[in-house]
Amino acid sequence: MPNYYSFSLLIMYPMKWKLPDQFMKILCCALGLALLTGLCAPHSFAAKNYDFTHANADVRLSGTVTSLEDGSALPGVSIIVKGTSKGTISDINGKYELSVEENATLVFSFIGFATKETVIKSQTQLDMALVPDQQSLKEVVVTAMGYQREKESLPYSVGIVNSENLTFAKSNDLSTSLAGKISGVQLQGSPSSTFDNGNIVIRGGSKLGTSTSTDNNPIYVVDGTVTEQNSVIMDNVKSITVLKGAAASALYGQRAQNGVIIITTKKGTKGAPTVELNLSAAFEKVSMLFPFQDQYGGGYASTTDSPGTSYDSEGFPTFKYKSTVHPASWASFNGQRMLDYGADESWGPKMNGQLYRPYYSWFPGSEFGQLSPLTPQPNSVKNFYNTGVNLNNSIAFSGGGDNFTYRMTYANQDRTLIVPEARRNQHQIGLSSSLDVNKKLSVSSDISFTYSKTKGQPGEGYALNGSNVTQNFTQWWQRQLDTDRLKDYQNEDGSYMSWNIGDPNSTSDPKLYLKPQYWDSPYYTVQKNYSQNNTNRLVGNVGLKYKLLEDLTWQSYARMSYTNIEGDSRFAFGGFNANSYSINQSIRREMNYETNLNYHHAFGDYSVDAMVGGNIRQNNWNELKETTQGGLTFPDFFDISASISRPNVVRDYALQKVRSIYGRVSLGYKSLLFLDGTLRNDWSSSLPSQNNSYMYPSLGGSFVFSELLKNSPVTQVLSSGKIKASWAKVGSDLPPFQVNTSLINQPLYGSNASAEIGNEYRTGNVKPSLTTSWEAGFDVRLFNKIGLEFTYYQDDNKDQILSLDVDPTTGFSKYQINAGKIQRKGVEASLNFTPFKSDFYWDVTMSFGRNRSKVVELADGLNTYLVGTERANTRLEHRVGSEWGMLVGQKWRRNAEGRVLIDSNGSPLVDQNQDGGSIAPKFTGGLFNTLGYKSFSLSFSFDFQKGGQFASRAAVHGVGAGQHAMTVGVNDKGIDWRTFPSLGGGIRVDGVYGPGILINGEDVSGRENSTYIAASRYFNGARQGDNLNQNVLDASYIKLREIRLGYELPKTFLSKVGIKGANLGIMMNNAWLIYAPAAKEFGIDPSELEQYWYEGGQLPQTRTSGVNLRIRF
Amino acid sequence: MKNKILILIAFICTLSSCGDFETTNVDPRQVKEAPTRTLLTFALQQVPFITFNSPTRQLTGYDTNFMNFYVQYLSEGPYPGASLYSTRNLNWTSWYTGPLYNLQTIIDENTAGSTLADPGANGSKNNQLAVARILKAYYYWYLTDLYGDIPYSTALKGNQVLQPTFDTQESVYTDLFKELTEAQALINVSETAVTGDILLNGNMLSWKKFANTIRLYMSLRLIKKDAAKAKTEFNAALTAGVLGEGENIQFSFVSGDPNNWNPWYKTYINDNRNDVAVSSTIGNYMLTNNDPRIKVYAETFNGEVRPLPYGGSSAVNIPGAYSRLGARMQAGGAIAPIFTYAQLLFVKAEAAQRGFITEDAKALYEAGVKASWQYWGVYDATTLAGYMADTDIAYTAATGLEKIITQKWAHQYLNGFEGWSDWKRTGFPAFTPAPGTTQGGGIPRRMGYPSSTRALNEANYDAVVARQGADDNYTRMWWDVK
Repeated sequence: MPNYYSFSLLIMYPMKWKLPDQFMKILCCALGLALLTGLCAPHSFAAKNYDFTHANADVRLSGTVTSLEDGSALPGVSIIVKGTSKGTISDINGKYELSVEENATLVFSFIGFATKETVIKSQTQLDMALVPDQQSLKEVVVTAMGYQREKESLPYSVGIVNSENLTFAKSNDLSTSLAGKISGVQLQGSPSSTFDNGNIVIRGGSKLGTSTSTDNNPIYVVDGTVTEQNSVIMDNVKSITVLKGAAASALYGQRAQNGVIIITTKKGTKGAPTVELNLSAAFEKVSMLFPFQDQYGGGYASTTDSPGTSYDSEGFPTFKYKSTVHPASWASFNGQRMLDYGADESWGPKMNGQLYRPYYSWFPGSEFGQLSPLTPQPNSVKNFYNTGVNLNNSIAFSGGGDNFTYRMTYANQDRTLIVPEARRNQHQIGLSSSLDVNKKLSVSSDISFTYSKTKGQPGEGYALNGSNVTQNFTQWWQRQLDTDRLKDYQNEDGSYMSWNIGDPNSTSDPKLYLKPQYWDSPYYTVQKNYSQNNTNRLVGNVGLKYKLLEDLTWQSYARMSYTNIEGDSRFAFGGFNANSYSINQSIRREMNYETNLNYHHAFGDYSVDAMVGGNIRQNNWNELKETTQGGLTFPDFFDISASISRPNVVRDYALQKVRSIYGRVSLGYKSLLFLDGTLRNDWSSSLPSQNNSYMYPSLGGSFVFSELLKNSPVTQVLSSGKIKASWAKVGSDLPPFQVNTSLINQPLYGSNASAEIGNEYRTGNVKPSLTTSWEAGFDVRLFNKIGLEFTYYQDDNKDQILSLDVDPTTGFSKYQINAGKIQRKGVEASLNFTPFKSDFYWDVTMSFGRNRSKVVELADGLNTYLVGTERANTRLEHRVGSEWGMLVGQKWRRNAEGRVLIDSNGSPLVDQNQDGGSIAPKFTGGLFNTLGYKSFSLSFSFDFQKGGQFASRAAVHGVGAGQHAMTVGVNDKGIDWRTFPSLGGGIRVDGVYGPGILINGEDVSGRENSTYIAASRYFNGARQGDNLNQNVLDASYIKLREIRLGYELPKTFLSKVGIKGANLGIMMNNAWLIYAPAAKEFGIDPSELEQYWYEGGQLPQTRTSGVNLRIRF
Repeated sequence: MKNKILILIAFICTLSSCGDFETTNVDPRQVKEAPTRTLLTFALQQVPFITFNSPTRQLTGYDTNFMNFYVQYLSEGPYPGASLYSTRNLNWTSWYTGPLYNLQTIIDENTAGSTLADPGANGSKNNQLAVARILKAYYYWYLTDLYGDIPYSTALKGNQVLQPTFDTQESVYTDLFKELTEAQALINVSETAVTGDILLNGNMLSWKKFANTIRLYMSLRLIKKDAAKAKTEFNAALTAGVLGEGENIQFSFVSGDPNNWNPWYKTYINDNRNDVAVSSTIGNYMLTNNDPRIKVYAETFNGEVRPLPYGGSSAVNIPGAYSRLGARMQAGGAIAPIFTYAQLLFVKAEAAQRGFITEDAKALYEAGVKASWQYWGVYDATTLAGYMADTDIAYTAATGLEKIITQKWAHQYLNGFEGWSDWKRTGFPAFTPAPGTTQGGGIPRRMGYPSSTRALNEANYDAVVARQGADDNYTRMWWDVK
């Protein structure tokens, strides 16, 4: 027998083991012994019969399976011949047919009912009534480490979504598909027109994020293996459990601080093989765009006060022939109207059909010298975007015999986006199998492999290199441009045509005046300057389970999650950017070796469920990026060897090991009272060796008070009820290589090595941090129709390992310290209501979460933690005494009466360091509905968020560059404000001159402002001074996210062609953004932000609609 | 059988992970030890940006280009901002955490006698300490002239002083004079020279001159505040030894090495930014007088220089229309002047004009212009003679100071640091502020402290604002008296 007693001893006295290595060696040896025992045990599993044949099928048996309780037919009951893989499943009316040998034993099994076995004699008709199994009717939940627990016994709140509710509309994105379905979960989506995944935040922010949102994101666990969310085969997901609080996730250790998303995939079931086809074709279309103005063309005219010599009175620059600069043939162009071609703003002339020289009329060729009318192009941007096609298909084979199960899946997704040239092809295969080797030993494995090839991933964010064409349209564009014309960007001589050229007034050298100023044709950008990558992801586990005694099981797993990405990107020759090429490769691998012992025993009314185990985790990262510098030796020869200057090489590398031992004990008394305790100790390689061990416990209990009311009339109303409470600590380490102040190897000069002392001061003695949290709540069920769950929680995230900003005059800009306290408090509630449950059924689930994260303290003398700075001095700060995630920045200065104070030049005075709101939402939630009548079903989900703010570049630049509809209007004199102020236009800001303001030497303070400023000076300059009010937007929204109308095809017809069931549906994703101020004003969907607190050039929102066919053979 | 193999594999994998943590947490991408010479090299790589003002779009934190707008060397095209004197709270993080802390470490390692400062490989202790102290003074000089009072005596102490106090500019100047005097005296040319010296290649005598030149320039800053001290320090520095005829201290950028490129090259070639052009202020001054240096400073179109009008608020596009920097200035491997002989002659001319020294101001001035033409490679005796004869250029006693400072400004193109300081203390060249500015105060006189200062060092920040005046761009610092 394996020496499991030593395990228990070790768990009981973990503190004695100062040396984790010594412990782990013993653990390994114990594991070895156990394995050898398992291997050498003389079980003759090889002699077992597997019957895959159909010999001697001499009895044709049929019948109906019903529930003994109410006589209703039971569809989907598994009926198999014991000892074989042969079997069938009852149909929608509970009927089945099967050919069996005489004297065979039939096993009827169905979830929620006791399994029943019957020996077949010679009968041809066998009706079976199954007895509801009270025990199994209770909801079973997959919890930490894959343990299935009855929900009743859990002392903490978990969220559960099953596959029907998760992927009914074939969402591509796991996080997005969870939106609104679980209380306390906030979606940080990604634009629907990219291939990116969204992220989620559970119970709000608890950390002082650095630069990315991922600091506050949960971990994703697929069949026990921690991995990335896009390794999941969506059609294979059986259920998702969301562990929210520290008590729920304590067994996962530090990485679970922000919660855990446990994904359980579908497994094969014993019985006849089934084949599932899940086919869908969907179309993605732009559903929302920035609200453009369509009256003014490109230019800079409205940046000036008067036409001067540059413009005519309508704001056109004109061609001025100079014999010293231009050829004689251009003399006839003298006086022709042009535009400021080099402007990437729309502060130009009004589009009234005036004849002018478009940009292409300056390129040599047939159009040279032509005049064209200046007319609006309202659909130009819309026409640029395509209809994306998303084909998403999968096939799964599953089944099993009495000692094995299997499920094999192939899934394929071929998707194009609305942005031209963007395409991803993804192939996934999955295999999940289990085998009972003998009565004691069983082995299992779940593996999925994903290969995806992406070309032309759209550029996102504020890109200075012009790679984000959407940013081009919304921020830096000329509104008269016709995108159709831009398709034709190649000149006769092979060179390329940009709309954003120089000024023919100053030179006639085409090399100079035809050179792009900031932008290429957007078609050039997507067709020539693309990136591509190939991604391989493997996630899987191999495990064994050995039944040592009736109540004692030993389990051991090896788990791997592996991602390999290789790709490249390029800037082609002849465009705005220098010709360049870069390649990137990255490998991420996580290995886990896990072993544990489980004990489950009932002593009369008492039950014990205990587990002890150990885990070794190893994370490796390896990344390499090389970029050519100074151009390519041969134009468009895309290889690193073509770099003219020394290529830039960046390598990222990390290695981390964490060793853990842990245990859990759950005690139960009847179905009334449950107590739960866990204890875990981690040793992390990334902590200083003197502080690398840390232990943390959790405790919890639940009291099913309704058990005491059994047989009382109260149960007529209160079907069930429990109260629950838990308390936990969770420890945390830091990323690798961050214990000591670093010495940075800087780029050498000539042959001289160069080094810089790192900019974060580290003492070398940082300690693990501990979060303490508790939660309490209740679950009740009323009239057997209404379920209500409520949880209150509070976390104190103390002594975090912070990389704190310090005054850089110390010589360091950061100081690594254990400090700070962030308190999170909140409530979560979910309500499930099933008003109808017959031919017409309706099930509705509502979820609601409200979180408040507050920064209680940072470090001595420090009250502000700066996360980052966006445009116009808007910063994200965590401030002591304030809500987590405050936006701080500039606002117009106002006097006591609230009037704006104006400077002598007519622009408002600006105050810095003003408080804005928090980025955290006030509350989030959702509503999920399933309705049906006979063969028809309708599912739809809403999600919403109230409050939370974000900084918007579309607002800053889209308005500042004159693209937005709000930049068109009349001033208080009734004159078009885009008219030159010298001609009566311009904008007068409503306000009074500030204290001490002098105009022509006269003190005008307190007088009404009388200065008119050019429109661009208002919308681009003055407005940014009020950034917090004007360009920081409300992230509230209500969205009808998914909807699917399904029809179950008639069985009578299908059975003739061997189909067990088929469902045809029409579906829509991202169906309707019902309410969102940011969408209304700026065309931005706040549930799809590219960054968690700002957008730099948000891609458009799309609506996906399509058809879905699910067939079961 | 398969299962047995699987189990066996799992078992072996598990066993193989039983090693200890010893080397797990060692980052192979970081050097474990940095000898002081490597710290010096890094500290020197940032030297040119002070006197060769450039945008550093990717090497963030060392952007000094804004000074080119204050002294009207450059104009802005499509995005007027800095040239309209937009409010500037300038970040100083990189200077303190980069070169300054590196230099402090060199001093600490030498003081502690660390093996990392080994004299054989890094230079003698005296020479290392001298160079580190001189360079530290150089950077602090730059910082105090930008902001006025700065953290100095309690700065660069890591976690020992998390919130350094601000020293008055007066005390900073006093200590810098002392540091430079002591440090240059510490230099021992007979001992091992410093290594890693990419600026002066271990020429310890040049380091003495480097230190004395800083002192010389610093002393003139005090003209209005403390003329007596200015005179004393000036003569002491001159006596201690400054640049000889034709001697220049320059930094060479490296063409072909993106990490050591001239930032202007990076801006034009790599980043494709054409946001600035040569300003009409310097352009017209030089074109009016047929000054050949303008064709070195500015891009030409068929021999024509087209300066961009200075300080307009309207957006204009530059390429092809207006002259960007000249080929010599934008080359990847350009040579950035730190201190030049011509500049020294103008400095001496000013001292002579003020009577600090007994030499002839006019002769020094004329020698300065000649040295400048030679420096920029446009010297021709006849042309120069014609140029010097023009009344705009010719030296007269009445306009001596203006002529000297204006020609100094014309010589030290892209050195806004020196030009801006000269303008503050003499009012020359007599710049007209940008017509499109929104700032009533005109050309800024100082930098606001970094915007995070108050958040990170509240008590000391409030104290310095109370002492020095409002933290804006117009409060006059200690030496900048009316």
